[in-house]
Amino acid sequence: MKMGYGKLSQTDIKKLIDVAGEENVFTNKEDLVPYGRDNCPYKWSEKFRFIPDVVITPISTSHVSEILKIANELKIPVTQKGGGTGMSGGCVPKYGGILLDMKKMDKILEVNKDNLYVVVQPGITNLRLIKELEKHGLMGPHEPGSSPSSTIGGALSTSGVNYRQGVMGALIDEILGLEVVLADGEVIRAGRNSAITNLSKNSVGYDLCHLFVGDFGSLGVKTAATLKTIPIPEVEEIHVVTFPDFESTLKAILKIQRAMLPGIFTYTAFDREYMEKASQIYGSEVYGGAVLIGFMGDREVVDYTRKKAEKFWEEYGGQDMGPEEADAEWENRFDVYPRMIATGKPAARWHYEDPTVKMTDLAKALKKYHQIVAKYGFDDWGGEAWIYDQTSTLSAIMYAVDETDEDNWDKYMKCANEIVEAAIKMGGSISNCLGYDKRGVGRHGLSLLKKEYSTPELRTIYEIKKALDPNGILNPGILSLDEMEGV
Amino acid sequence: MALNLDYFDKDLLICNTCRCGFCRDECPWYMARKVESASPKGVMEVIQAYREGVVKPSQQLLDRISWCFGCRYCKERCPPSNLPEKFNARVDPGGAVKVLRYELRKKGYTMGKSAETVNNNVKKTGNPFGVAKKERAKWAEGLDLKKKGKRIFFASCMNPLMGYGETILKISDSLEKFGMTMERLSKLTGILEAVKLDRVSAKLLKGTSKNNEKYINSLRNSAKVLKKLGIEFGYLGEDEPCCGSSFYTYGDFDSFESNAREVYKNLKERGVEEIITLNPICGGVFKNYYPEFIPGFDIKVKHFVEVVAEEVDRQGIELKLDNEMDIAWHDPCYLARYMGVTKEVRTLLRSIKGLNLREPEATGNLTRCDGGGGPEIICPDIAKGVAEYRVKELMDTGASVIATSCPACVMMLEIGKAKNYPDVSIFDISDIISMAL
Repeated sequence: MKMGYGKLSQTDIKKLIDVAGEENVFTNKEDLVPYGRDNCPYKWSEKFRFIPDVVITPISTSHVSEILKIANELKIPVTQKGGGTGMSGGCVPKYGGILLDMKKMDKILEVNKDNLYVVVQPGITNLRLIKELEKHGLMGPHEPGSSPSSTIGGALSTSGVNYRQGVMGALIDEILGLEVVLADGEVIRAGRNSAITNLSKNSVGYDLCHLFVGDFGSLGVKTAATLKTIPIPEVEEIHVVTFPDFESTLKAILKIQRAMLPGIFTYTAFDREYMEKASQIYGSEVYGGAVLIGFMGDREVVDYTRKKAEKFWEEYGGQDMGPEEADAEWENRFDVYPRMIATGKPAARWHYEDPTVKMTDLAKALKKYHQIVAKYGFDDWGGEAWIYDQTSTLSAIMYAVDETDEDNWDKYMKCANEIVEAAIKMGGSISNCLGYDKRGVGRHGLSLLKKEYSTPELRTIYEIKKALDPNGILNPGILSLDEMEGV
Repeated sequence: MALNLDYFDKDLLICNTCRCGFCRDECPWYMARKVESASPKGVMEVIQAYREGVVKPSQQLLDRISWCFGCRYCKERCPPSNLPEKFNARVDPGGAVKVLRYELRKKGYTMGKSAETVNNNVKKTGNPFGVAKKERAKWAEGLDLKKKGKRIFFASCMNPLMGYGETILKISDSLEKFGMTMERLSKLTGILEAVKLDRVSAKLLKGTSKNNEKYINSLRNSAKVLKKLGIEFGYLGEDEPCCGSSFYTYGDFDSFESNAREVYKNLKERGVEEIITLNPICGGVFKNYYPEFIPGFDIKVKHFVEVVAEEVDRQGIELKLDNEMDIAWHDPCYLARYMGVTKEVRTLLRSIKGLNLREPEATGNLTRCDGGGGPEIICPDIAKGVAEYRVKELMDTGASVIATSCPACVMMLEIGKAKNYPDVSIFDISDIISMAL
């Protein structure tokens, strides 16, 4: 998509103020600088590189619509931001312009207890939604590790995964419909093969709803989402089961999965390297492998499933660590962000690659990732797997990256690319939930995307983008769409 | 010593590379403004940019950071701060904000007329309200308190006079409806300050006597409870100094330091070894900031509730309310996070027969600010919104009354209840203990 964006003049800013109100438009430098980065690594010297020209905090769909009309006419880039916890640069204004901070649109518009869905605005944090739905006896639809600060809108734009997807599914399963403002300011309803946004199964046209999930804000601005919910069950039980090695952990999980037991809401598996690092921080014991497994349902169902699962994991040497260990692990599930500080370097942060692989490739994949990290000499923080279903799992590797250590930046990019390429070779996909484009370091890019997609496939993606956003104003730079002209 | 931003080098590095933002969404400042620069995570990026010259010093920068309530939620919630101590990974955005206020004030920018008036009042009269000294000691009349002691009861200047603050905020709230801003009102208090304070304060007191009554009663109740428990203490009366918290809050560290030295000297000369206070703001300031400026600061500081909980347990005293009460407890930021007192309150309240303790969603060390802490005089409309949110959260517990123990919290909860819960009573914990003992 050809660039050549316009620049905002004082008159344009005045127009934006007229539309959104003075209290929602920010142009002072101190208000702009916190919008330059997300949670993907950036060189320390480049932390203020991607600063928007104006930040707008819309409070309604009509605000968004009017802002987009102005931006489209003037060809001004518009980047959307939720919690800023993404790890692919998705909310970072690569070309400056307008930054739409969606956090003021954080209302719950409807809680339908009878038909079990909820309608929300995109700016609500995942944890706040969980807490508010709890008051209605319902379970929040999305609970990722970033829940205290990530938003439902951000999660929808990245197609996130969550801790309870064993029962509730990931967001792609839970989303029923969206309200979307298109690049020209038009507002549409995007349901599942329907214009109706709260019906899960229809057959009237394209599935526009899922088109916008995982679009990284490149096709429209989500202003409302209808999501499935479920009643909070009578019992929720978490167990941490340790194994002599990671292979046995996975074999046990596969066996449990194949038994089709009801009420297993999470399987998160960890390898030895992960536990070794946790041990350095918390002094915990190290095992060859472990799984955090959660059961929910009424008492009888949970007892039934747990007893059956127990038999399977015991076959592979699994050992239940008891409720105290499990509760502590569950309590700490959000607080993994700062662990790299234990390297002794305050500027060390995690780098997290998350390719999707099949369950049967998981052990092989993690082993390969560890070899790559060792080859480049980075501090390996272990592997974990968020297991979605029998066909796929997020295979994650974490390693410490010191943002101030810019001499090693090229090495770091090579390491990241090699991990992802290893997954592609196994028939995996570049990313399960974080996105493939690491904007801050400018790595990955179209050449990597071409390793997963064929040319006609990329062209299809590009044509969709062009049809919905001909001026390329929405989140330019993301998904390498700015490099796809003539692909 | 946290006198310049170098002290926060590591905090800035950790926060600006971690970027989890877990501190942001429940921060009262952010909840009211919903823009990154008005959040702990965002302000750490702003401060980093300021240090690198990307953001220049300006009045608008000081205005932006003047709204932080200093409640320390961010520091408490911060995942790095919660790592095992050996990693020394503290991140204190609120602390860094106060130092930036200090730096910007030194460059000639101002925290606003209201804040400067409060600081001038403390300099001239020893209390933020500019009221004559004798007024602040009136609460103790007839209690027959000793004037000396190794252990003193520190009444603070807020508890005896908080009715003034409440009145000013209520007047400001009414005037704002007519377009009269707090800024203009503070000019008015500036005028009051210039005239003879005794005469004006007497007139003011007349108008606020109803508001002031409850604060004074809480003080009287606490003194009576301590006496009843057999605890020996003195009260310095008119000679009690002001801890100078407002100097620190509003970025005048130089005045804070000279005042702190004076106060310490004064207390040492009087042989004071331990302070019991009902005001956790003073308690928190003595405990946290005095040691920063006075190496070897050796006066023990306890909140009233710590002393009472310990004594009730030691003496095996049974506490009982005549009429059953459902009480929502609001942990003041200064009590829970600056003084670290949360368990003692629960032990004490749960031991009272007839008292059903209700805990709100945000509780204990992760309590939610109710809009006090300084910015209430700079941006009263925002502080009022924060207070209304907190009152709702407390009342959602199903409680019929609210209890806390901080004069600024009582004041803000009074402001916050007016719209939707006008009939709810706000008690200080000393009132509850007094009823139950």
